[in-house]
Amino acid sequence: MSAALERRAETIKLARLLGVGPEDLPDLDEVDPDQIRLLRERATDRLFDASAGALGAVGAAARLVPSGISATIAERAFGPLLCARAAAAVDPAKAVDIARRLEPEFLADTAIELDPRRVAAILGAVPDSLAVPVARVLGRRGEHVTMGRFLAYVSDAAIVGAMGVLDDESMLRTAFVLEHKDRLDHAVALLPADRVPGVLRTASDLGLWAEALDLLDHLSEDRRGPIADTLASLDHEVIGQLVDTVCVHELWESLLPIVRLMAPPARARLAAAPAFHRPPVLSAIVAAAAASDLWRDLVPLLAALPDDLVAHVREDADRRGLIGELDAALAATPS
Amino acid sequence: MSTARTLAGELGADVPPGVAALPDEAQDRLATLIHQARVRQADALEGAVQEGLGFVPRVLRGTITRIVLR
Repeated sequence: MSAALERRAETIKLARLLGVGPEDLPDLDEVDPDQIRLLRERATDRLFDASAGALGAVGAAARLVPSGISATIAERAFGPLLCARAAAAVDPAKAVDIARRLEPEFLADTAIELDPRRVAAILGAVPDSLAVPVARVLGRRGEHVTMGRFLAYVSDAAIVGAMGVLDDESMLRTAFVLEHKDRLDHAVALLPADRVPGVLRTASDLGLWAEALDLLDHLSEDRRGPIADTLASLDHEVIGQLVDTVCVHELWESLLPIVRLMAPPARARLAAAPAFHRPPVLSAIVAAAAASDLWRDLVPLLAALPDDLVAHVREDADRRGLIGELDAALAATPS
Repeated sequence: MSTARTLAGELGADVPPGVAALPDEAQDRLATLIHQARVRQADALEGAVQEGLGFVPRVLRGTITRIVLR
């Protein structure tokens, strides 16, 4: 994720924690997103610790009160914010039992206010029958930042269920703002293979290629390979939109490794797309290979291009004084 | 008291260096917002506990009141 988008997501989360709008915060445009996250975590701890005694008492009382009555109190007296604060003090099984009796809209409001670090035991115990309706509400509201905070804490069954009710756009946008991107590979493994083409087409239709490439960046090579092949099977017009985005946002560092992972027939199909035959695109690829040491990733694409275009690439590299690097990569790559 | 200490006081922890580099007025604003959130939360919690007790069955109310208002 770009620093600007990451900062935007962190600013929204900090504003929510403090009960204000993002516009009420001071200008944080120069602050590293990680630093805003740290500030939010410390402020979260402070807010929880400040009422720890009272929240703990509420948790202790919840043990004695029947779940149905606790749910009524939660909805009519506490509201989503205080429920989110008090949840950590409630026994996880009891909390889930209370949650079952609450409306998905209320639970979605509560989820927005939760600190997943503090309620990990509850989140891990949430059944998919509860997670799915809440995910549906959050998806409908465009709460990608909220959903992105929970992935690392919920069960595989809940993830699968939630992905089943989220549309492709929600999936892409949530993956982009995910807090624990190291979990993406596992989550994508849970995604039915027949969803992948739709997700990629959505990326194209909605101009979300940067989000899609960021997602692919965080996958293992084993996971990326089949998706790369699916990518190559898309219409040449769609491939053209992808290449345009990559050129504008200088994302060759993301795309070229994906091209390398394609099976040879898939790569040949991709390389036949007219977008890869435009001289400015080929020049941009050479420049990116030099800037980010992507020579090893470039070679498989070259091998799939027609001879006249390879000659163009060689001339371009020669003009830039990079022919040595290109030839070294070609020599080092088994044909 | 310096601005950084004010924000640190509201946080009850060190101010992250990237935030400590903000101008004084920005840190003051953050300290104020955290303070206001803390006060709002304490007030809301007290009101919710009082209101919530009204939903507790009479047979449990004494016990629950002792727990939450101890």
